Amino acid sequence: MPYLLPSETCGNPNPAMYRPFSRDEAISTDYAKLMEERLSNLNKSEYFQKHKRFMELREQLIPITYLKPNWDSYGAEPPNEKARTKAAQILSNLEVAALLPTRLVPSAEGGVGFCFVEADRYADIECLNTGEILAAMYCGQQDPDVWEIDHSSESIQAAIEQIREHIAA
Amino acid sequence: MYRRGRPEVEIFEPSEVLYRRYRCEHWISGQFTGIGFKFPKQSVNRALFGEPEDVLYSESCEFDGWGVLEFNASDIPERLEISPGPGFLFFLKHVPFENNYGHSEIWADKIMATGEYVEPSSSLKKLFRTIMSQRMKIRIEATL
Repeated sequence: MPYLLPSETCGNPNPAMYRPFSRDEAISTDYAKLMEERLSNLNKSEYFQKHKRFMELREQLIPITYLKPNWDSYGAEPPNEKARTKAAQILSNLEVAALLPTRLVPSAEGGVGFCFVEADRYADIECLNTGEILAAMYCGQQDPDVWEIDHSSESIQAAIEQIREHIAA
Repeated sequence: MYRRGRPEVEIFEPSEVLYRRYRCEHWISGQFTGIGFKFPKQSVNRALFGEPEDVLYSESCEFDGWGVLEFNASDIPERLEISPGPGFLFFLKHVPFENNYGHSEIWADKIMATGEYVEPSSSLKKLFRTIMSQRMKIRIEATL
């Protein structure tokens, strides 16, 4: 005859397999200490922080793709697959170059853009729905530099280096 | 705000203020990014015929939390070119709507004027949008 165990019995670990650790036991205290130390060191690591931020930016690419048409109230199109794929590629290039964008934003022209801001120095890379990639940079109210980036890795890397130098200057 | 039979007013004084809506994601560390600026025919509202709050007016409250940017008519670069392409002129055009008399648009035309709207190259548009973003100031701060 089948027998249904009472729910409180099901919720408890099998005493033959598990033995609960208390916080004051030497093994768990040492382990917890070690883990805390490791985590704290990871959080101090610039590399880890950047990697975490790049992961967040990658995640932000998903909701941006699902924006509704006219999301800016001035008739802007949501980013299409072409723009999203290019943006993901540029994000990978930026991570390799360890150049963290200040923000990822949807483009009012239809597309996705990466902005870099440091004090009054500004730069951006914009991946448009047309497949074009454009970049701009300026300092304060000075005349901006604007150029088109072709789709080659060399051209993307050159633009990233140019932006890095501009932002760090 | 309503037109009520009023005519188009083609003259924009250089000091005339114009407004447009923005969302806070496009305001980064004290700067408006040109990525948030649409061109061609970016709609703006004339301060001459309304208040900055007018551009946030919506019966369905869809612009709650949005902000308003302002710039002067003289902030629009009159002429731009990126060689070897043709040069372009940029200007304001009053395009009143029945429910928004101050509505205007930023247009472009080749230097050899055709009188029609002519689409500049993507690079030239990018240059224009970037210059405009440098000149935008916050009138009402966005919270959304």
